[in-house]
Amino acid sequence: MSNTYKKSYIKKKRLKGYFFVAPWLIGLTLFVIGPIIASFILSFTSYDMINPPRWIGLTNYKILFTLDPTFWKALGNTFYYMFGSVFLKVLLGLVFAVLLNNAGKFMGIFRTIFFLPVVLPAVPVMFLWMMLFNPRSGLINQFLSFFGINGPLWLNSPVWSKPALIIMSLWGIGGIIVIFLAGLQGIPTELYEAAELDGANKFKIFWKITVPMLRPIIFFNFMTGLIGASQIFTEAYIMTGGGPLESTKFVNLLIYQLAFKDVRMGYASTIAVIMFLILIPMTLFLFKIYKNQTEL
Amino acid sequence: MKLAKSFMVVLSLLILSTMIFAEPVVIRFWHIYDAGVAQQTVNQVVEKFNKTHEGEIKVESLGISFWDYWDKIRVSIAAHQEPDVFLHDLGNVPMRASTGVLLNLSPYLKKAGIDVNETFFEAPLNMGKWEDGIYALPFETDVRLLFYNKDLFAQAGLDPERPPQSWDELWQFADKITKKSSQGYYDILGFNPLYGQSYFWMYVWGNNGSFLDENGNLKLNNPTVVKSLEEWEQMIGRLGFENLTEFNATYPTGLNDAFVNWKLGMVIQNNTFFSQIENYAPDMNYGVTQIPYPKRPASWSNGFSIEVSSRSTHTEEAVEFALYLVSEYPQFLFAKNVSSLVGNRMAANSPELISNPLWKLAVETLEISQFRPFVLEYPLWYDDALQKAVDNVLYGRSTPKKALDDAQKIVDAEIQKYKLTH
Repeated sequence: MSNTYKKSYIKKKRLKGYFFVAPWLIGLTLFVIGPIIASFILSFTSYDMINPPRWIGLTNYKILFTLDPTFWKALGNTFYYMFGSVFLKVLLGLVFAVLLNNAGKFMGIFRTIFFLPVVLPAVPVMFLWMMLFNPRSGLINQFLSFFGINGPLWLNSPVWSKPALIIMSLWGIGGIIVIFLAGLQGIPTELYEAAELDGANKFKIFWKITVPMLRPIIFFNFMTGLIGASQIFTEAYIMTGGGPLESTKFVNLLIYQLAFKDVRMGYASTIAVIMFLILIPMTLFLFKIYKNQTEL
Repeated sequence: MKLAKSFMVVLSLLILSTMIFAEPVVIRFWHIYDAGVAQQTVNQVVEKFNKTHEGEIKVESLGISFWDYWDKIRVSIAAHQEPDVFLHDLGNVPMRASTGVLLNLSPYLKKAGIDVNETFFEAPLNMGKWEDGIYALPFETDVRLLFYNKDLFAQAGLDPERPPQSWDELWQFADKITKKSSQGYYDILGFNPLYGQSYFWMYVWGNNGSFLDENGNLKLNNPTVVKSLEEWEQMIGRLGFENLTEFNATYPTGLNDAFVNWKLGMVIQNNTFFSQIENYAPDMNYGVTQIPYPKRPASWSNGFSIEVSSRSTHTEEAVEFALYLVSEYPQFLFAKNVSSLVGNRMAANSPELISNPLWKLAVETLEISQFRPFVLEYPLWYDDALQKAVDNVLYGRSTPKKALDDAQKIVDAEIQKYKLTH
């Protein structure tokens, strides 16, 4: 085979590849990248959806940093939920995965049970949780009363509303458990045997062998968990409406209200851009730590 | 050649015929009545119009579910494809009128010889005005009334046929009905000012207060509002804010509504609430009366409007249909079938409807009811700044004067934001 024939053959294969990826690429451009760029441009305009967008330069950004305390409260709420939820989820997920790993023949059943909540439709589940959190008749406060504890008002208390949402998010721990279980299978058993021979107890084994070997997966779960948690919206929209006292006003909810209730599309886009500018460096920073930590 | 000639003759005859037998003007009409009696009634009304305007105007009516409607109409306006006539929110007409997308109906009303003050109720009609024009006509509206459980009244030793006549009596009666459980929460409440459709602004109006100053600008921290908030805080503090919040959380609206479940002696609700009572608590003896007040009768209303697009290519026909929709017979039909208040005064006062005591009460209340004033620079002032002030006071984070001063600062900031971006 001559070289030119080989080159055109490879080129043809490459073109075929592009051709097959084209529909997805077109979809990505039209429905994801395009709107992101449009949102970025809209952030410099004032747009009420009736008249065309009006260019106002950096005015929206000036307003955000000087005239809008609500955004900072929303940002604080979002960070509280993000880190609270993800730390707990990853920690508990890891513990449960390790326990399940030693469950032998019951592992399959429990894995299914834990994963079930992940596939249930979100909105009915939220109504279910609202009933659970009911201060008088809900199961959670009734359970607490057995121990003589007077349960708080949960979703109706400005102090307990975010903890309530965090507890609710633990329901979806199944996905994390399944990924950790897969990771646990990959740890060589010789390490455990060697540790047991040296007389290490279960606790030491967990911290000195299991956790370090699972570092990449822990970081993966942590990162995807953070990005996912930063998008919290439906729970606040359906269960609390942002209250009480704006304790569950998350950034996504604020953007939605500004865009669709106040019809201030330009300003809503500005907040979206700012969130983008916060999450991207955060993700890059986490990636850097991940790179450092996994260089053994 | 002969074939071609005859073909041309036939073709030109066809073209001529389409010009002579012209298509009627198509008017698109969007609304939220997509099911049940309301949809049937609207269809009936539209059919009647189409019949009487056969060949000239054809109205195509589209009912869209309430939950999707607002997004759809907004997107259609943004895409310059809005319908000629559409239903919209009577509470925020200037938002649309100020952008030029609505047609000023004043000249058409004058030409048709309609006296707006005679034909429509005052408060809903005023919500459709902007600057010197009328940009929306009231179609459907409502009021809030006090519903009370006659059986609970009798059990508490009160006269079931005598509802409270004043704000003080309201609390006297309520205290007799209220029962606290041994664990400290409210088993039965006589009245809950934070439940149902009871809101702080209604209490301010009952105190003869207003949120606007003499120039029509928002002034949330004027003396009457501050005094009202102090009284509001006292009333709620006496019952215990946490207890009331716990009560509200235990009985969310819907199937678990407190009044329908015999847990609330009196409740302020929308005038159509009677259908919920009759559905879920058919054996309850209930009464309805106007909301008692400290100084001045007050109730509050929302409504839907009929608006015409200024970008319609057939404004004459569109206005003709719009005026028909809010005229006496269609409004009477709507009121009768759907049991909801309408904007047309003459329709609402028709003998057949007025013979129903609840309807009569609703109509009388509409004459004294108010809409929340619309502020173009800050449409959500009551939900945002005012509610924040009330919440801060009730949660013990601030005092009434300071909370309302802070709220006014938020209002000023929002107005500044609006000026910067418009």
